[in-house]
Amino acid sequence: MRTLETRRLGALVAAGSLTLLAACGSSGGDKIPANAKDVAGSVTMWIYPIDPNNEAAYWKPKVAEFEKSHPKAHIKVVVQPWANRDEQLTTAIAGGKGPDVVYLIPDQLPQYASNGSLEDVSDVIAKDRSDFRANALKAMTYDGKLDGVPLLMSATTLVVNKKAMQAAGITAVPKTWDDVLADAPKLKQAGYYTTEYDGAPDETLNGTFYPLLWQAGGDVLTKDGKHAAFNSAAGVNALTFVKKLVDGGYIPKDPLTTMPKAETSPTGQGKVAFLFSGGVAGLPTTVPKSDWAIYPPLKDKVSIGYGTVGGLSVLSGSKNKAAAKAWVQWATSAPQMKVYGKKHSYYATRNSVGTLFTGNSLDAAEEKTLQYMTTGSINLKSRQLMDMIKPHLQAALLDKTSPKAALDAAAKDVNGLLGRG
Amino acid sequence: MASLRVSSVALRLRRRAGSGIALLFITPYVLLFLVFRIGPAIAGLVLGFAKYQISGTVQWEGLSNFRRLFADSLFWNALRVTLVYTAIAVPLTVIVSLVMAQLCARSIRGIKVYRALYFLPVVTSLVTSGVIWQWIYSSAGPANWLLKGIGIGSVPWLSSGTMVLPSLSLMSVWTRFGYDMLILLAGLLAIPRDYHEAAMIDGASAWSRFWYVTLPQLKPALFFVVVLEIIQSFQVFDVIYVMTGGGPVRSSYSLVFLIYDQGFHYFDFGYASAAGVVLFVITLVVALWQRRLFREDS
Repeated sequence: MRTLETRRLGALVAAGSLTLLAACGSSGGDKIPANAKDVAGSVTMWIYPIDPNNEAAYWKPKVAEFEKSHPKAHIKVVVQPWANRDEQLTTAIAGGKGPDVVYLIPDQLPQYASNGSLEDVSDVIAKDRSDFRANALKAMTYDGKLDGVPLLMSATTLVVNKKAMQAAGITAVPKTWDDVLADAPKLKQAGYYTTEYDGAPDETLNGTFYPLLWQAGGDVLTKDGKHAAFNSAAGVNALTFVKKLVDGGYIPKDPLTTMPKAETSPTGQGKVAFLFSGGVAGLPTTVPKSDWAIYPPLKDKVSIGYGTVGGLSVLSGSKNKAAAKAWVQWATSAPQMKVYGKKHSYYATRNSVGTLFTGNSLDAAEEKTLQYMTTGSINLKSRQLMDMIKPHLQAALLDKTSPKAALDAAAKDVNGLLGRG
Repeated sequence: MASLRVSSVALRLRRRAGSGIALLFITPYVLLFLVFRIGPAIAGLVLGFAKYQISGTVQWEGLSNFRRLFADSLFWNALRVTLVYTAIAVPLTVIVSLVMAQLCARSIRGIKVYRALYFLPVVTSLVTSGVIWQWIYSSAGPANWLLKGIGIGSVPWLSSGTMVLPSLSLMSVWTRFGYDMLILLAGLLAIPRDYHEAAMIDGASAWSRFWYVTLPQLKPALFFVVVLEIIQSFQVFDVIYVMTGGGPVRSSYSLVFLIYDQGFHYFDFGYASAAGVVLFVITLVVALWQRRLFREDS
């Protein structure tokens, strides 16, 4: 018995020493060199077409600029498609072929952070941490560890088709759900849909149900993140609101089940009056920009919308972590962030960058709504939860069950999943 | 006697050299097959009994993934969807392919052009096909326009739980029949004309000739097509992924979709592998049963 305990203790000491050694080794090699000329090695960054047409063109001169000041570093920027990005990244990481730096959003972060794929990047912003907006840092933090440096922020808010409002004789922009319900028959009469609700399984609830849930005063999970909370009275109100629009024929039916292409969607054809969770970046190119106007998010009880944060994460598998961190530090510096935001119609996560857009542009209007935004609660299973909830919402909207029963059934599934740990 | 022995030795040597060359030719394929098919299959089987994280950690879990799978209502729903889809898509595809093969077996002017045209959907990108069919099935699409025109009214092709699998099967027929048709056509053209001529002399009708001459002669090709289609249907994913994403209300959520979700969305590779193992066993059992059935019939 004594021998067993001694052995256990020995093993513990050995394991502890190894961990300590590994930690010492890791911190030394991963530290960003003080002198830019000492930053060495190849870094591959995966980014996505945030600007659908010019993402690669944007980074080309930036890489050259960085390599000029960091002559021993070599940066390769690969613009990957949005579609199946998790599958691609997972496979690459599993095969040991992952990039050194990758663009991630809060939804994705927990899955990679929880399995140890992401490096702590708090040292990257150690000197100017206070310059970052607190909500942006919170969105890139999982389990107390900063897993990515926030590069941009976005907002989704109420987007109005002025042409549709004019055709329906509506003069005041809706502020509440009741306003929307009052406008709906007038819009239908004028040949317009009130809104488009994308209920297809591939759509994220961050752009559909969740903002309505928050507007009704509800939340997805309880504060401790252990139980479903969306089947509250607020949740039922939110789903009933959408159902009223569906039942009245104020929402096109196809997008409830299938995801139409942007150009052929009712919104893309200019047949939709209000986008409840719209944004400048996602507006269809088939409708002139001058037809749109941007306003604060709708409210039932609270005016709130979904805003996301995009950040650059360093992967644990990177062979050149110091160079990767140096690149991330440079790419998210205030001057770079300013140029990036302006060019991409996104907003800065650093306070020092200030307001990027002025005047009457859509970007300026959207930037003003940042104060209403939330990224929602960060949960390891957030995507799985959404996939569990979506079919139940669809069932209610397709008249297969009532909103209350649908949300209760979804809550049962979600609680089962959360209970599995 | 001596010359006979010499020639037999030479023959043996030539045979050996021949088999050596054959071996040389098949080695690259065998190697690739082992590395990219058998290897991952074995890894998948092992992972079914483990908890695997993309960081590389593997933890032995015994049968827990399978226990969880059999208690998961999502799995049973996915299995039901897969079976119903197979029951609709396979007969439909085989019948359409057979009819088209019969038509294409005729020696009419420009038949080669028709054959090539019918094969086109097979080589068309599935995403493109999906977008086109989504439009065909949409409320304002040509299918509903046609039905409204003849007074039937609009059909919720992809938004109804009852209609979604037949609608997807129909699209699948369009994308698959060209390939099956070619196999069956080859089988049809290989049937000696004498058999049909003899049956005609005996006064057999067109249907009797098809039933008693064509069909029995076509059995090997037909068996191949049926097995292939069943395997394809059990593995249905891409059509669903492009068209419905498994909806509405999981009415088209197939087994492979479940595997995909668990593996690549939720990173639960062990659970996904367990579902893959179950799918493999089901497919194997069906294929063996079918083989036996065809043999008994022969």
